[in-house]
Amino acid sequence: MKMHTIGTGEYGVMFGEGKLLKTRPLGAGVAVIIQDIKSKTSGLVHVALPDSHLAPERARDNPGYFADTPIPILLEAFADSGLKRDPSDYTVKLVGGANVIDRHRAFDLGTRVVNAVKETLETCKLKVAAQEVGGRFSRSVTIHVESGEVEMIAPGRESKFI
Amino acid sequence: MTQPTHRASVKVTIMIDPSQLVEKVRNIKPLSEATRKLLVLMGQPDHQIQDLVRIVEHEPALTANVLRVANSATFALNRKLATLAEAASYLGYMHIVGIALATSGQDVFNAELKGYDGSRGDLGRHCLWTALAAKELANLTDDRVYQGLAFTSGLLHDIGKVVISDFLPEYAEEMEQRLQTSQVSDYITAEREVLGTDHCAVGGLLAEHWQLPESLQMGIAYHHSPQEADEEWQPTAFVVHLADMMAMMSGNGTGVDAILYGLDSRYSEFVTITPEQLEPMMLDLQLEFERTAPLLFD
Repeated sequence: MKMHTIGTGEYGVMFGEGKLLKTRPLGAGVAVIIQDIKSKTSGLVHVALPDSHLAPERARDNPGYFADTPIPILLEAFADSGLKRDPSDYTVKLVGGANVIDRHRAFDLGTRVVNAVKETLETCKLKVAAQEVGGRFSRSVTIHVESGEVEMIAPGRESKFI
Repeated sequence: MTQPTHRASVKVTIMIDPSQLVEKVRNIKPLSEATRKLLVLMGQPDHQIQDLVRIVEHEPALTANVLRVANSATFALNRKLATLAEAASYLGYMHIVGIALATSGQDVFNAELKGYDGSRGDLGRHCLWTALAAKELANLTDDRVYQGLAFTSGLLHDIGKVVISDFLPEYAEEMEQRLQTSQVSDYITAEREVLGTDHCAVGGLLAEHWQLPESLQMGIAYHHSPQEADEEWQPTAFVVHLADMMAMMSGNGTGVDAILYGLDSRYSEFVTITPEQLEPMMLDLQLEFERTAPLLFD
């Protein structure tokens, strides 16, 4: 199996046989998975922060970090591969967004990232088909590209396909 | 070293064999003298880079490592730094202390942490992320925490996990049951209830074994209960508490316990931070971490 790991704030699109596309542990970050099942193509981005407007210069260099910048880029990457489709053709899944409860709000980052990702998806007219978000444990994701299966892995827990 | 609790104020009942616990701590390789002296120096508010150089130059292996890192491709310097003084001035105290601990404390920072379902290198990387975050958070404490102490406490805060990890597999089922059925709200409570001690208290013991100063012992022993630290060291303990949480939020945890800890909201008495400050800080820290980690722990 050929494996490609997406780091924090990185994104990639992959298709073909015998390939795995995976994230590192997500923590409060969210893995946004966009798939075109017909062509067995999967896109993945590891979003770490909700809003690029708080740090526009950093967002220019690192668009994958923010919830509002990489999803349109992923869709463009699909289009560049000749897969320009209607938004309803894509299957979208979300994993991650582990949250810290903070009554002062600063540290409840996971919830903010999940909400911001969902807002962007809505703007792009993409619907979430499945999600494993929130809670208080860190997850990672492995996509079996050919089958399109999305495996959620968390230390000390059995892995789960969503 | 007399008992497996760090201070009288931490009430714990040892369910794992106390003599085994103490033996495991004693069996951990002492730090080199230069590394210990560097850590003691970092526990003090005032130090100059020349003070660090005077310590490092007595240890050839450490001197060689400092020069190696300074001249590595990461920094892409256009000339070679030939002397320790030049290399130390260029790298700064953070890298020097990090290199010293990564070299001398390799058995700890590169341990596998099987009991936490962690991988080799996870502890070193988690501690580095925490240290970088603690250094930044120190700037938000109205000068109550100095950066060098915050950074060094962050680097050391989870050393107790190396000892606790060996005991955890035997109790894994009980730990899991308590956490899954919400009998306990966080991992540290599960450790205390099931093992009778926790990685903070044991870290305090190891810090004592390594003859580290009280200022550093406090950040280690109280990073999950910062309000219990001696009043003088509470701001530092809160900074490490938050920095640890930020490292876990970034995905750089040590395994099964990542994010399974409570946040003490009294942090706002010591650290002033808003979501708008935290978010760009998380990005800057991740980028700094990605530059630094390969030099120390990969």
